[in-house]
Amino acid sequence: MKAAETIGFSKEWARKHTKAEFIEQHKHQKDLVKDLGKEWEKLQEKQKPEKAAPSEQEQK
Amino acid sequence: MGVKNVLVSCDDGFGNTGYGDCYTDFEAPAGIISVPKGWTGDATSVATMKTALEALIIANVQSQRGYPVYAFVESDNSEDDVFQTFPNGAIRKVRDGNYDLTLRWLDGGFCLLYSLIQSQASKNRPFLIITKDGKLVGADAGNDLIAGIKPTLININKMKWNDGQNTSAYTMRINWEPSQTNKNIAFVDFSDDGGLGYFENSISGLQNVAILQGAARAANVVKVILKTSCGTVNLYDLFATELAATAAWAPVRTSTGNALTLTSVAGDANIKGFTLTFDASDPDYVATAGQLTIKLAGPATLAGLDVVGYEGGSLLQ
Repeated sequence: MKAAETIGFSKEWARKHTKAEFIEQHKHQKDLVKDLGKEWEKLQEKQKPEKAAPSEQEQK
Repeated sequence: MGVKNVLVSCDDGFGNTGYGDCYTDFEAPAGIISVPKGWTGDATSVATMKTALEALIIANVQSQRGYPVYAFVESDNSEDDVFQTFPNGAIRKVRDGNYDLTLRWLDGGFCLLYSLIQSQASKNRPFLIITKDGKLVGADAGNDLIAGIKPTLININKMKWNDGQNTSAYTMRINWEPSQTNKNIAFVDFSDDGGLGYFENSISGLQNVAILQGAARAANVVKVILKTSCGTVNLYDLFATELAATAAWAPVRTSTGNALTLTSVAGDANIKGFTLTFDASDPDYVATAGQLTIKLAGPATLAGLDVVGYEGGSLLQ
């Protein structure tokens, strides 16, 4: 089983906290997730709203 | 004197006695589903009924849940109809005799008996009968609805010990007034939609899950192991990925019952358990021992995460 599949972070919590806070909070999981900073960035990316579809006017 | 509440005319109270090639015949009961008081289901659609039953058995709130039990009729001690004989030899019926069945199960053994004994609140709950030919039988609730049969008694009989000639017996007794399943019967025929197999495969009772300490609590980090209460299967072996999700857990502060925030849940292969990390900055979080009540999310929530058929207990940390 891949390590990434064995840990589930709270996206909501990650969104409300800084990368440093996230790393501090999960430093005990370093064996499981080697790059916590990158994990935080991935969680932030997942929180970004999807691009709105272009309006009809824009399409014209 | 005016006549009030006039009943339907006797002239209309006849049932035609013709029937086609395919007439209704009930095979033996193969189980029951205990349903919440007041529960009704749409008797006109098997698909709708399936959806309703599948949601019922995993309802997060225990009192709103359905509890299926698969069992066969061990003995029928139903009462004879009661008649009165008059001095002139005439006889009149006083009332119907109640149904009184003893149901016995083999699969589930003492585990099932123990769960039913513990369910004091479920005694005298309405129930539906599942027949061997795949009919779901209940009472007519009007408007094409089926309701549970209201029992006069549901008793979980004490275990009968193996005597060297016979296996231990696990049984329950159900007694009900018969008009509910005769004049006022309602049933849904599943025989063309999986029949009894559908019920046995898709309408199963939940398994209790014990939450055990995996390691001593270290500040806001708790390690737990999940094992089924009867059979002690470790859920890590089955759902390591699915349960490594904050949504699968619902911890609360012991003293207030307020929800606590988990920042992550990780599978721990060494202990075959899970590491729960709490948000120490959550206003409801306290470092005091015993103030973390670890619980799994409700069965319906777990089912949404593909962990189907389980309900967790709790652990104080």
